[in-house]
Amino acid sequence: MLPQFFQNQKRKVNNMTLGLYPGCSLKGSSREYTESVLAVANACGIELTEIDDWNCCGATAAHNLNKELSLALPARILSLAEKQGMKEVLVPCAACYSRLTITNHELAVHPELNEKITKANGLDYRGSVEILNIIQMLDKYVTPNLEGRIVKPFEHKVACYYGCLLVRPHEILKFDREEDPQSMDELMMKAGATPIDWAFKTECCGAGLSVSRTSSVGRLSGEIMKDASDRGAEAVIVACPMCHSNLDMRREAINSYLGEKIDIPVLYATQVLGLALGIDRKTLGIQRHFVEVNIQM
Amino acid sequence: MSIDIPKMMDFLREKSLKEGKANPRAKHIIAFHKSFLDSIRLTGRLYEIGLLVDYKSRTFKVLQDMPLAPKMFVRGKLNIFPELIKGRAGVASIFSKSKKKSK
Repeated sequence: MLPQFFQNQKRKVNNMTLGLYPGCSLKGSSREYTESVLAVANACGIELTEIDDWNCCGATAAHNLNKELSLALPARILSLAEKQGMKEVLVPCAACYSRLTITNHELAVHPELNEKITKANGLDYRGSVEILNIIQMLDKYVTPNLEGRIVKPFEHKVACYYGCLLVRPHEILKFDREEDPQSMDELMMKAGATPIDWAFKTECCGAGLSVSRTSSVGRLSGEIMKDASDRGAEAVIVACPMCHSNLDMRREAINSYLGEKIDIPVLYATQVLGLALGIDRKTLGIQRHFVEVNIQM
Repeated sequence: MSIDIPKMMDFLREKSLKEGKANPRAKHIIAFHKSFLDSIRLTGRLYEIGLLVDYKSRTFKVLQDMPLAPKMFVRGKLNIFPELIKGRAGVASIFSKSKKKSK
């Protein structure tokens, strides 16, 4: 008998192709995020085509140190996607999503800036690429066809953590509410989970300070985990590799700051959805986490 | 008209760095950003081991996070070799042009 995951492969519902910008973290320290994105997409008949020869978006380092660079690096990515005929590009990393969307916006509303950035670097970008974060992609192409496909509901209390970059700035992203967003909560309900009401949905985890100021990450991420724990969450759900890394890999610094041991696991939204779809834990990369995922399905 | 606070913060960070007025307490954060960008300039993508070696050489924080590396490696979270993109020359050119303009 075929495992459940492979049985699901036969029930493709969309048969469509999307561009994919994985970004650097998803190729390294957050490999399990890629694995779960691809597994869920595959199970739902969505083909993801990676942008050929993509480069790093520059992340926090570029926009902190050099504005020109922070626009030119994402502009090269957008230009490549456009040349490769991609209309929509999925960007699962919330930080990369923020940089690409902000660049798309800046180049569209400031034609002189577009001219300056693209001409100077021999790029050509007409602004035709639409960028989707992971929740938008799932909302658009997966959840409308979920009925009857949830074979193992994730029946646990979860704290949906959006972080800083998934919903801000609203003026540009135009996605969900800046305060108390709901999109991930709704997605988790569809996967069978019970999202809790909590106060740290969009507070900062310490982001790119993981190495350069680990103590700040311990404090900021510690407050997030403490609130999730106090309100009875059994798992924290994220859609950003940086948030995951800070809440999971930096758990020692978090527990040291709090002076208590919190062992609540941190899962990507795609891992939870994948589990609910019947995909096995290994395919979703759950064994790669630092904080063991002892949740029984 | 609303004030774009993050944009203003980025502007002030860039300006203070150019004028040598960055807060000395931020030196490790700036060192990390510089190491991060060096990695992209050379390979086109982030090479995490290269980033950490470069960062340690800038800050002399040699022992920091040493126990973490093998744990990341066994979880498949650390690539031994960098991913080199074909368009490295184009990326390096973006760096040199943006550097010139920001002077």
